[in-house]
Amino acid sequence: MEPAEKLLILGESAKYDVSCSSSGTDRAGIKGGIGSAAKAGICHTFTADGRCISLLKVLLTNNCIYDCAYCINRKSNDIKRAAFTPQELADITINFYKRNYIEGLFLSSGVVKNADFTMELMVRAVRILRQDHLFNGYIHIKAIPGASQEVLDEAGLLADRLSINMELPSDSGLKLLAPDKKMADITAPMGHIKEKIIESKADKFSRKSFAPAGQSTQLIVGATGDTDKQIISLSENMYTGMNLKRVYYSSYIHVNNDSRLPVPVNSPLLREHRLYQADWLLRFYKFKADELLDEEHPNFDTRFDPKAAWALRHMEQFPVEINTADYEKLLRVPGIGVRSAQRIIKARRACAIGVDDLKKLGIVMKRARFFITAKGKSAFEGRFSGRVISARLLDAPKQRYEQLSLFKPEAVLLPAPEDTLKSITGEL
Amino acid sequence: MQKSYVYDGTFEGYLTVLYDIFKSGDEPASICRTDTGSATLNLFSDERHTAAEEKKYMLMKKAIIEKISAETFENTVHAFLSEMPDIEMHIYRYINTGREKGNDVNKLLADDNVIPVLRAAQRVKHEGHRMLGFVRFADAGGIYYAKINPDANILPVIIPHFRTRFGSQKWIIHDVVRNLAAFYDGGKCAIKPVESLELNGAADDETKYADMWKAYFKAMEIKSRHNSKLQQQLIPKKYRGNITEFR
Ligand code: SF4
Repeated sequence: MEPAEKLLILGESAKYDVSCSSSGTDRAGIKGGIGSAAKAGICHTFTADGRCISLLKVLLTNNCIYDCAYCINRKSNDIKRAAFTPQELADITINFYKRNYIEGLFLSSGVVKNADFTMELMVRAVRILRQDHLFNGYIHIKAIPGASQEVLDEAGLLADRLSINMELPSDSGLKLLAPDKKMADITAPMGHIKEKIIESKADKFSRKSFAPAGQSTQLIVGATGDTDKQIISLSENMYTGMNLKRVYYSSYIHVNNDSRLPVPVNSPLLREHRLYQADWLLRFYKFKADELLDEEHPNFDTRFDPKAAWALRHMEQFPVEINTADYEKLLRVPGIGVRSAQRIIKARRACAIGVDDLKKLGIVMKRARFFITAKGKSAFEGRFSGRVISARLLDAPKQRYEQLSLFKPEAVLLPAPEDTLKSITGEL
Repeated sequence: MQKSYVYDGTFEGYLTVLYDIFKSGDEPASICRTDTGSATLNLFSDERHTAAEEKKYMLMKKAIIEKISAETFENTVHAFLSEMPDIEMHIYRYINTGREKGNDVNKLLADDNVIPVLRAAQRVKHEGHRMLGFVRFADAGGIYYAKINPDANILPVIIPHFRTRFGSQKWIIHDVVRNLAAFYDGGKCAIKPVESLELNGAADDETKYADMWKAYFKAMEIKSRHNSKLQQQLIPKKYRGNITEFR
């Protein structure tokens, strides 16, 4: 089979993996070699569904000995199979890179024979890139559950980032849908990678750092009955316990007919979107999972983003005076993101800010105005009460979600473009 | 009486004019370029201006950096590259404000003397960052050639990135809007005006890799989530003529 045909098959099989980030490492070129890594991350193109392509995301092979219910590559599926040789994959990667199509490689694979055998093949491809081509660009390797420490150690020295996918948020989910995998096959390598990263950071003399862009994971949302609260608490644990850089959420996509799988729900993307918003709040806004959701509210409100929903439940903390509130407090105002909060702090050092100045500062007032005062003056006319404000919030943008029922029999709720952008930039 | 100033369209020329203006102490009536074409920034070129201009340029640059701040100089460069109408007068007012306020000028985010410059600089930085991803090279037999059509004159902004990234790989990035091209020979880089570029043609496997990339790009779409409006926001149509996968 020609490499071009393999690329199509193996790209197609990899595309449901959501993580595409190439950020986190900053590295100049090496002499005689090619490639650098940019801390900010660079999107090279966007697919017709609006997802960023940064890395060449591809499987080494879609052959697999396992039979995970949700996966298109499971062994019981009758699909076209292909496998790259390590050399073929390295050639395509380097040639795409030279043309600036991509920022690097994101390599994952179905399981051939066993975890270590598969990982060895992946490592070989990456070694050709690093050692033969002196390729210094970004590489993300997705480790196979159950991989041994030896092979992880090798992979970690070659890759910028390692990830091992959690896929399902609970043990019971794993048992039901991915019976070949055990939770320990995932958590043990995760823990090992964490230790190696800490070790390598502490060792000032080592020449090669271990997965300098850190470790990440992915969760499939909606394939099992887990609540948002369970998911977001799990994420919090992985951020604090495993030092993960990112948790990615992928709303379950129905590709197989299998009685163990749920019937697709109405708004999977909206749920995924809310989880990403909440994830930002955990990582950059100092929210705790149990502040965002509790037993009474185990799932996110479809109508409000998680921050607005939290604010509406905590009206006693508002309004916030923007000239005196500290940074943390500003960040908790719906509609004021990291950038806006920084801008406010910078600007008010020069002189006190009035309501009119806020727009000039580029602060989006649509939601913020209900929750702030500037020089003691409220930014909206109306009574300051939770009931009034939540009604006004709902009333403001009439067409918040587009109905794209053309493409699917069931209605799909899509976040408005402006809303989508927010989950990319994290300006909540 | 207020004077009108004319300069040659280069950044160096512009700073020379600014030097004269601040020396005179009078508010200028206007600042325009002689050419209607686009401004070039000669930071990367070997050409030098006349001694007198060079000196004034250096003095003005030093004054901005030392008396106001390096950030202000950076904003000045970026804003200038935006080629926005009247940007010369906007930058004049911005620097004038900076003379009074020092680096605090960059905090006056609600001041009309400052906003246009900060906005323009922001836009140029943003477009420059986007372009790092959107530039597409084709192997023209050992030299990698790319065409771009940016809104702003971003070549000087993106060059450093591609120099470190491609190391010894030679490339040319051709801004077809301004008829400027950056030539990188694996070591040095220069921006030069070009009318048209004759290249020896494509390497043997050029179409092979371009086709592979196009097919891969198409296959990566999740059809059930088609959203071309979002795609258009993220990768505007105006750039697509020079982006391999949209051709
Ligand atoms: S192990 Fe991976 S590739 Fe194989 S069936 Fe499970 S999810 Fe799919």
